[in-house]
Amino acid sequence: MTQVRTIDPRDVSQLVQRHQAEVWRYVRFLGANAELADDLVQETFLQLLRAPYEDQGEAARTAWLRKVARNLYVKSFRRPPFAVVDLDRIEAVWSDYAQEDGGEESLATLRECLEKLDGRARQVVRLHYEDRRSRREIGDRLEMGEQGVKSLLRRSRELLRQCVERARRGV
Amino acid sequence: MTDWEDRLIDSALQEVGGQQPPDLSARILIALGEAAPGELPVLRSPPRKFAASVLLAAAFLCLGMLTAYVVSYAFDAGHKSPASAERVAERVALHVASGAVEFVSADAERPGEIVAAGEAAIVSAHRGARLFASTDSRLRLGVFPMLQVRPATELEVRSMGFSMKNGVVAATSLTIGVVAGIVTWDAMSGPEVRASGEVVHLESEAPDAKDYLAENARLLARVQALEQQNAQLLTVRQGVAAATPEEPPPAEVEAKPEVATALMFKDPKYADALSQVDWSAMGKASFEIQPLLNELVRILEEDGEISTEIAVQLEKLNTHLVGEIPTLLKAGLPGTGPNGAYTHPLVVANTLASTLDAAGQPLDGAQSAALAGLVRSFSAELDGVAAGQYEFESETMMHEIEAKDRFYAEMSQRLTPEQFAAIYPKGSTDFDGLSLFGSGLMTRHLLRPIKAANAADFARRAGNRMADELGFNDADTARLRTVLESVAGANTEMWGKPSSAVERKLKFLRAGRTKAALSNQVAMLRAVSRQFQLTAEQKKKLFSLQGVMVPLY
Repeated sequence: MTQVRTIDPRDVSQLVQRHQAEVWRYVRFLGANAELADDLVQETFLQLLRAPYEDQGEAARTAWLRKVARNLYVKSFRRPPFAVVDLDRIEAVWSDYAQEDGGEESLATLRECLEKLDGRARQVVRLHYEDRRSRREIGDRLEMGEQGVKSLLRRSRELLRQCVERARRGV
Repeated sequence: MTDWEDRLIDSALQEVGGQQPPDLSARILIALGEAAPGELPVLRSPPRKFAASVLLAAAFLCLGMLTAYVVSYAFDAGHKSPASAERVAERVALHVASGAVEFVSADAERPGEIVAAGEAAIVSAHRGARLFASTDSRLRLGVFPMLQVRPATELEVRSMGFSMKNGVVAATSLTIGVVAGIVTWDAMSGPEVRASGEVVHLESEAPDAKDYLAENARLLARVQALEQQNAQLLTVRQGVAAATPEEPPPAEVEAKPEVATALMFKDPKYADALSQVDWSAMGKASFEIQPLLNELVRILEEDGEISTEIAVQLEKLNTHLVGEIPTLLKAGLPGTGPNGAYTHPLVVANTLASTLDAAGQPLDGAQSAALAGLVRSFSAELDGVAAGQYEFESETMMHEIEAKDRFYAEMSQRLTPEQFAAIYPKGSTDFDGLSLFGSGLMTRHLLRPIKAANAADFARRAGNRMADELGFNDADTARLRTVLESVAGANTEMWGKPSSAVERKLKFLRAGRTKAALSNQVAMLRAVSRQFQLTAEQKKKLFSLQGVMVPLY
């Protein structure tokens, strides 16, 4: 239901600044590139600001924003990028990561875990994610095949995930 | 580790690697004032769903563009083709005594209309029309009793009964379904209440003698006031014609031009509605907004970022125009979309006059006379464009823009250098839509950017969108892309140089690029129309496409 209302631009800025990082991270997690993520975040907030919306607190607002962002992401494809049956799984994985701070703490933990990563795994992650090297370039540098780099990256991510999870559980 | 867990760590590592969430608050603030939702070209008006009904009560003039304040032109439709006397009688006044009510016509092609407390609107209460209230509200439809609705109430018109009285069809009963919420009203037998799932039957309230007497007295008073006004005007006119010594000399009138708080340029067809606009407020806001727009663009060009501070200031200025936009739009001036009315010569000339007043550079008598002539001439030309039979709506828009561009050019030639500088500050004509006095206002919210660096990319993405809308199969989609590529490739103006940050982030295209994109769009539509066997439905969709697909790269 549409509500007659005027929006104070300062409130808009504060609202966006409060939630934009999580929404952006969420659509990146779903698979959007950085540019698409910017567009989706913008459209998501426009929907919130233009549509009638009864605010029921921060948690409900966050969930609403995520849902809208996800729908917009799905709509940007001709065919759905993932099955509907995945939705629960997606939500579970994201909620576990984002907790109540939009993923800030998990991200900080990941940085710490990255420092703990051993030799070659850490090197390949740095080259790929920080130096933006392709798998072929990394392979040439480390004298590995592309497939080997791919496998090592995946194993490294798994190690990092386990590390983040252990830290979260206080193990 | 599942794929989703892997994706999560992957995206988090990318953030660690430097791809961090940007601050989009300024960008969102600016986009908030725009009309166009989403990126897809609108090949048809989407069916309106109530749960998702989106309509701001306020209109914004943001970044030089009047946003689509959506007004349901109830009067227009009625004048054009009333299907029957009963259809006319279904057009009733919706009065809202308190709260606010959104009315959505049963016709999915038409947007909704919000009626706030103390306001009234003429609505088409056809079967299927809906009313929504998010807060406690009191409303009256036509001659039926006042309804009190609780928050989150949704009503649907089911039927209306009619009877013929003295040759006039009049509504006598109204049946409304309560889709959600609670509604109460005072019936003959006492207070009535209906909740979700129930039906409300209302009988018209016959006005009694005292109502007739009151109405008669009101009309008599109005007639007397008009006669008095007429007599005063006649006196003034006779005085000016006689140029008696007692009258102020004409030179003095010219020395102190009339401040455009009132309507300066008039057309009898629209005078009533346009005289309700506070032109002084329009001029003041226009005068203040333009330098901010230029500054916004300058900072973006230099720093690559949208200034939040300026975006906030622009939004604040927008609010000054909120009260004027609905009145302006209700005048019913011809033109494509809401900004078609705003860029109509009659509105432009009056806004120009008031903006120049605000700038301390008012029009003199000769300039006003010259502009009045231009307004008449171009208004007639635009009437012709609106009535023209073009193959596509985009084509109508193209002709409209072409005529308006000539009007703006002619108009600007009548200004002194100082006035010109006030209306077109340096840089304001570098981008389409940046100036408040340019046809780019009309098209900016219709732009549908497509990230494509060459004609093939553009054809692939544009083709996919169009194929989706037209329901093409894979083979036709592939052929469509080829057709679009050949058209887009031939339009060299579209592929001159990469898009700037101003184009990508603010959708202000380099001057002239919008027209190139529109021309390309019309050529694409024409090619599709010629080379595919389209069904009637597909032709209709193609005809109504207004979104202008433009490559940004």
